[in-house]
Amino acid sequence: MEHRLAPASSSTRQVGNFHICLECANAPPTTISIVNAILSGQCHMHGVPRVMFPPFPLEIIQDGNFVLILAETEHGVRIIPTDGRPFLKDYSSWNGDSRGHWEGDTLVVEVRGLNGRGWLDQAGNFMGVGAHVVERFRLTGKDTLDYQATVENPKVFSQPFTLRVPLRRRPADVELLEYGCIEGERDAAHLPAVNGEKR
Amino acid sequence: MIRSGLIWLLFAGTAWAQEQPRDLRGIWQATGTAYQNLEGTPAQRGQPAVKSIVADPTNGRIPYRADARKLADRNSKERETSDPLLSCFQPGIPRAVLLPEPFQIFQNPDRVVIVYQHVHAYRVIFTDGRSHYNEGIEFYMGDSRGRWEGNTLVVDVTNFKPETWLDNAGNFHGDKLHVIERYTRTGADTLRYEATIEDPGVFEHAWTIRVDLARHTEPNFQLLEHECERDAQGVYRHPSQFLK
Repeated sequence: MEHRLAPASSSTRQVGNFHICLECANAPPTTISIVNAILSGQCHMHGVPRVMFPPFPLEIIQDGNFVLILAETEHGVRIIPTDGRPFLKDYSSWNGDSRGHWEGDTLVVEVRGLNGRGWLDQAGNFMGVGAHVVERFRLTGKDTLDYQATVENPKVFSQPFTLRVPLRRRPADVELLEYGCIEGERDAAHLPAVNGEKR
Repeated sequence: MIRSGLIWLLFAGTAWAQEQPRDLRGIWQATGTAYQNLEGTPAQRGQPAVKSIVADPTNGRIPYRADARKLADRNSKERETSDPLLSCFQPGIPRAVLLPEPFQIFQNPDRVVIVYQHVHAYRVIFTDGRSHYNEGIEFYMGDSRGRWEGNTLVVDVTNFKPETWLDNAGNFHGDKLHVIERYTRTGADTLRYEATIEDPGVFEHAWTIRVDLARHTEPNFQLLEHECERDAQGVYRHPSQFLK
């Protein structure tokens, strides 16, 4: 049986663009602080789960045993095998190492190997080294996707917690644009140091 | 016994071509070391020779205009500080294809997606006939539109920013770069890659490179994250010294 992140009845086009529904009432309040947005200010990929709710579109491609997620932001990439292969050993990276499987209509993705340097938001909420994330993707309508991520790290949090973000499909003619950030970057040197990290 | 084995191999070799000629999916990497210099270089101390992949013109040389050749020579002298890849630029096309790092091709009926391990650059190549962006909208990786000619994927790439280079040696292009790429399966685990490159401000005429791409067949092989970043001193760092 082939699972798709689109209801079988929706259309012949089963791949599309999703983006965060900024105006949704249950979207988490965001404290925007340019000065404190250290990591996104340094052009890094955002890390899971933050990579899933940027202010720019995502594209989800399903192809055989892979779910591919492209973020316009920082041209972030996640390649999620769903063929049951083992995790990488001793791996550490911004977006981690993802393995997916289907539970009914829900794509469940476990993420290991996160380097813990990525923040959770622009306000400075963080996960720390050793964080473990389990994500759940489920279509709730033709053009709406429910995204949940459960984050745990006993060294940082007293218990696991789950964040939830609704994603909405963009029109079929929307294309991801190239995101240049670090190329020719000249701003960071002029921003103030935060937490002792030179910018 | 041997003969029947050969016949079977011959059959197996053509079976894929008949069944999946337009299937480019998989993890691929360029063979050879042309990423160092598209025109090739003689062997130097501590470094083997590099073979030119310039197939047209047949002398293996890039047909620069005279003033542009001087600039390429200057780039070459300054490459250890001037190469845009050193400061984390996305590599551009065709350089992304030629780098000594794998890339993965995904396919849907209306698009081909290529993800390069190198600085996680990617391209979404629509094959449904939609048109290029207007002139003046520029991208490091260009704007790619694909179509099938027989069993060859032809990708027309325009709208380039002029800052990217073509190889480690400082070969370069200008702001009128136009690349036409051709991807053709030549075996179960091989892909022929051709790119015709034109830019009237820099080259006397169009020229073509040709290189074979090989599939990574190691079990569970996957792309790893290659993030280029600045360290605490503001120095750009790649996770490995791939340029050496």
